[in-house]
Amino acid sequence: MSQINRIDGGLIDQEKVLNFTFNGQILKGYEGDTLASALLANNKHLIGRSFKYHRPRGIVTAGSEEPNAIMEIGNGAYKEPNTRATVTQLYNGLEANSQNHKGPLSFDFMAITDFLSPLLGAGFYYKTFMWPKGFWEKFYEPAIRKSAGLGTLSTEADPDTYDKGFRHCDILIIGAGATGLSAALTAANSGAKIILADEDFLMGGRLNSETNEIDGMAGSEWAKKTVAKLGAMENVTLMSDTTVFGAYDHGIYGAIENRASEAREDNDKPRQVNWRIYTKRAILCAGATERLIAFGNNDRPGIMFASAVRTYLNRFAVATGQRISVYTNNDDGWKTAKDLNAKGFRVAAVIDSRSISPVMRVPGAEIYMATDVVDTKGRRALKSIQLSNGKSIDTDTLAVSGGWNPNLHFTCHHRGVPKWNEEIASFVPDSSPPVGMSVAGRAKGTMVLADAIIEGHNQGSCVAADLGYKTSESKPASTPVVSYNISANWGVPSGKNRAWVDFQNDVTAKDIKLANQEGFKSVEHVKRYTTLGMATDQGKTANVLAIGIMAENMGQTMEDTGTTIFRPPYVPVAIGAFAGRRRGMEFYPTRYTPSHNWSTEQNAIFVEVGMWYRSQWFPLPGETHWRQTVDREVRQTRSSVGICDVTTLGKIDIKGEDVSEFLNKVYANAFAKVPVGKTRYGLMLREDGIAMDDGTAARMSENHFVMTTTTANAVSVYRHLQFCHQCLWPDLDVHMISVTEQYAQYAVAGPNSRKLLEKIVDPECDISNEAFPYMAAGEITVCGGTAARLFRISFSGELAYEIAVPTRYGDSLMRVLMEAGEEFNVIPYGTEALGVMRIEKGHAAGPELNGQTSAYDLGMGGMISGKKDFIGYTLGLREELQRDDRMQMVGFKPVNTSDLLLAGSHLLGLRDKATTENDQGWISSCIYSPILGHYLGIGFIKGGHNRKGENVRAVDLVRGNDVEVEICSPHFVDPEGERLRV
Amino acid sequence: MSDYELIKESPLGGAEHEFDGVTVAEVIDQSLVMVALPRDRAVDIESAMGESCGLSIPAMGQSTKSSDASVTLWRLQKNQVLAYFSYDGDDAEVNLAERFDAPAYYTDQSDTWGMIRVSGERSRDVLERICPIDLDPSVFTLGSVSRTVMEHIGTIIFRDGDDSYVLLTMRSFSRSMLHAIEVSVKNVL
Repeated sequence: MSQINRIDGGLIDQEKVLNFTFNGQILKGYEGDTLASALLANNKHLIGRSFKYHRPRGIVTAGSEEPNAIMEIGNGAYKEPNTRATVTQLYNGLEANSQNHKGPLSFDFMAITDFLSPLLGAGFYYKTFMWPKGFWEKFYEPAIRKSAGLGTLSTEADPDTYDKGFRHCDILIIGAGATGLSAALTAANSGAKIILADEDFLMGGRLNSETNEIDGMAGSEWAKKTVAKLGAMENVTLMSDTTVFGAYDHGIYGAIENRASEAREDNDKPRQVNWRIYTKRAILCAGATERLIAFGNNDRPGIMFASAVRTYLNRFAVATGQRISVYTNNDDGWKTAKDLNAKGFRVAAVIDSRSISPVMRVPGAEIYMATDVVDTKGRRALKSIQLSNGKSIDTDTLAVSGGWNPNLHFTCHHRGVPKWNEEIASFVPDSSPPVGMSVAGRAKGTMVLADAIIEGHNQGSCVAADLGYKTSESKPASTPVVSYNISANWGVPSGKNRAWVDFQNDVTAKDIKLANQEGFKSVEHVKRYTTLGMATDQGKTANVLAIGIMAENMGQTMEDTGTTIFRPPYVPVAIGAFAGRRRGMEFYPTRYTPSHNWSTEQNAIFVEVGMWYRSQWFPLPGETHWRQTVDREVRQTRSSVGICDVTTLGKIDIKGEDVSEFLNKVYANAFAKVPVGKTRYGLMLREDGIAMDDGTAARMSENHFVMTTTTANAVSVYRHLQFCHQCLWPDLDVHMISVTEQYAQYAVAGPNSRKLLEKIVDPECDISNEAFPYMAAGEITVCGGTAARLFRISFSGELAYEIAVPTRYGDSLMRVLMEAGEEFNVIPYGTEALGVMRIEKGHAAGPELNGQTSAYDLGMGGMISGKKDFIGYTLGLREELQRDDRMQMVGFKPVNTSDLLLAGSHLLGLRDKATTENDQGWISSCIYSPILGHYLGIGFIKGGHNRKGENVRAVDLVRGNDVEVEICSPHFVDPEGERLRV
Repeated sequence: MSDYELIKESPLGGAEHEFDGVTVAEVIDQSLVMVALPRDRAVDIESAMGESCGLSIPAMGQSTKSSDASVTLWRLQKNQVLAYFSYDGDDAEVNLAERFDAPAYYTDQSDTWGMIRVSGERSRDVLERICPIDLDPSVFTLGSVSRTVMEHIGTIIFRDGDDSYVLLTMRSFSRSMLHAIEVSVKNVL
């Protein structure tokens, strides 16, 4: 029979039937159910197995603190393990499977571990699996993990999508129960911008689970009306099914919004949204979580929180049993009996550990005061309980209330330390919550509903007033005062029976006692030794109970025992939700060069350079290896002409009356007297005298330079220049802006480069060698009047230019250059050929400017101007940087020209062993030179500048290469620079 | 007469997409020029711009409009303003210098940036998925401008209408930014 435990009423829609499966069995529930309530409605009490001992377990709570009812939801790639059934909204087609058992749930082969439990106490692994040492990683740990795990992953990529977002408010109210709604009302009425977030898909908190009256109506009805009122206000954003999971710096909160229902209807919609909420203030109204009492076999299916029994009864119209008993140490537990009676259920017994008179009359129930439950019976479902007075009571559900713990987690996210409050036997927030946060209601320890409502009401008004909004004149909602009295009860002697504290990690009161006996006194040490509170529920139901047991064991106060540290996230958050939409190619944005479309048409092979996508080489049909392509590109460029997109190099326009003085201070070489129309190579040093970046600066007019930087340092150089201007020399009249993207820039290199350019440069612009010599720069026009910039600079060592046009013409210019160059067999070349030619020429680049090399090390000591001060000058004079035996940049060529040379090889003497002590340097860049017909490299070796002609070995132990090389000049091709000037 | 002709192309080829409640369109009829204020000349320049165009230098994070509303100045830095104006010619720098007739340093930025307008009643719902700054109409008022980071991309955002925002990203990032906006639209609408 379907839903045998379902009764009438509740806050569900019993007209809307939903089908779902549990372990393959088709079941029915109603709209408004959670998976847990639907399972209970279908009399499914055994819903999983415990982590370590594979004990049969049932649903314990009705909220996010649930330790037992964790399921695998969905199948295939969509499967998500460790999902709490108590907060999973039921939907049509939901597939749930219990986890952590071998064989059927009702007969778990791994349950044998339960019978071995006397051997498996706290610290068992540490004590037992010590020998042989090497077995831990290879054998013991994999075996343990296999037998004691939570759910399993699909091992497929998660097909669900996730997103993130940013929201801002004056006041974030965390929790939409009676306190949160009261606070939201007054704060919203003041005019402040409010976000009200609640982890439940139905706002109202405990009001939806209890039978309190507020303002003359049912509490749930009051909540519904209040939510509707708030929803109609423009200054209020309601975020249900949204769990705030962390309080971060500067009033920023993380919140995860579950949009599973939307995602199910449209697979393209994100399943969860990770919100970053910027707040001016926050009011924590997160309520409280009930706790258990430790007694023998207190973990059987059917033993649950008293508050959960009321939630299933009142909100979900589910009777969790037919013969329900209540075991409590506080007044709140009695409400369970009252509510059950009101729905026509006979309560078997009420057991209260306190020596007081019964709190109320419960018709038909046996009442036992100053009595405890000491044991229970029933393997897969509760059958009976044993009392401390020796009496046994047949019962199928035991509603337990050990008191309430304020949900103060967020108050500790910035290292607040909870205080103990004896009156309510709970920890309460201290006086140092995160800046901007205040606390109200049960989260603060105000356990009486009427008081919590007033507190929320006042807090909402006060916080809004503090932000300058008007004070609310409304009155708080009224509800009858119901007192809350409690006497702490952490547990009862359980003899040989185990009294469970942490259900999810299978930690018992005995484990805690053993840890204490073995010398673990700190709550943090006990936590780690026993794994208490370290499961996915982070000990929400276990920790305070465990602290109580520890305090009793050690004869100290609760406050002295203290709590462990609360850290975000408050609830488990899927890693996918943190990644959001940044998956695959969307991990970071992509920058495309102006010639990208054209290059794609040429079947270019691209390489990621930072975020840029650059053409690495352009294979032609028939070329089967990249070296064939790159060798061709180099030969063709050096023999005729080649074109390379160099837009990615940083370009900075610098203008102002003091621009040459400014450049003179930031470059190591002289810039004060660069003539207009000339480019100069510039080396920039860090403050400590180490090379930072190199590039060129062209003087376009008296007060205008264009600086180029390397691609990698485009941003950092710009930032450095801004620092120099804003902080070091703010009085200089200097104005700079990046024009990296304003111009599409192409290197046109090779002996025919001028001939090619002359075809597109307008005739009135003379670019002959005489009019436009090596290192010239100027404004020109191309293709009939389009403004352009031309620089006669060369990275390849050939006669070469860099031509820049406004980027709107970048794609077109590439096509025009290729068309105009047909008669010269022009070719495009990529970053690989660019690298080959720069190494052939001996230009230092990224591998050489590695943050350890000075200008002298790079062979550029002669450039350093001794006639001026500049950044890096003083510290560059340090003795250590002037030593002759520093690692100095030189070239290396194999003695046997057929030998392979590898970048990263270490340099050793000819007869030295390959040891660290004998290491003399390394090859930093290495290529095969199609021009010279052998490999060559540049690199660093001790005192290299004076060792040219000496032979050493280049050894790469990782790749098994050991070749003899000659130390030589790094300038392999055209060392005199004649080709540049023709 | 040259044998070759250069054809201009906007960063996104004039992309325009209409969705229910949101329009996403590349802005192709505006130019952008950086106007740097030489040392000790801000007052002179403001006076000249005021005379020629009726413009004043805006407060930080704000904008001002010329008397004919064709030029908007954005202030994002102490010693410079950005001029956003209706012009699609190649010589925006010269054009603006002539309009202003003020002794500033002008640097064309029109090709540096890809500009995308996100407009419509759901524009803020879409943008809150990528934009970390508060776009509440009472906070980011009409004419506000801010520099921020969206999806790891440095972005300038300018509110040019009640429900209309122009996003500027470095040109090479344009496709990524358009994609980010489209993903937001897909996720939200």
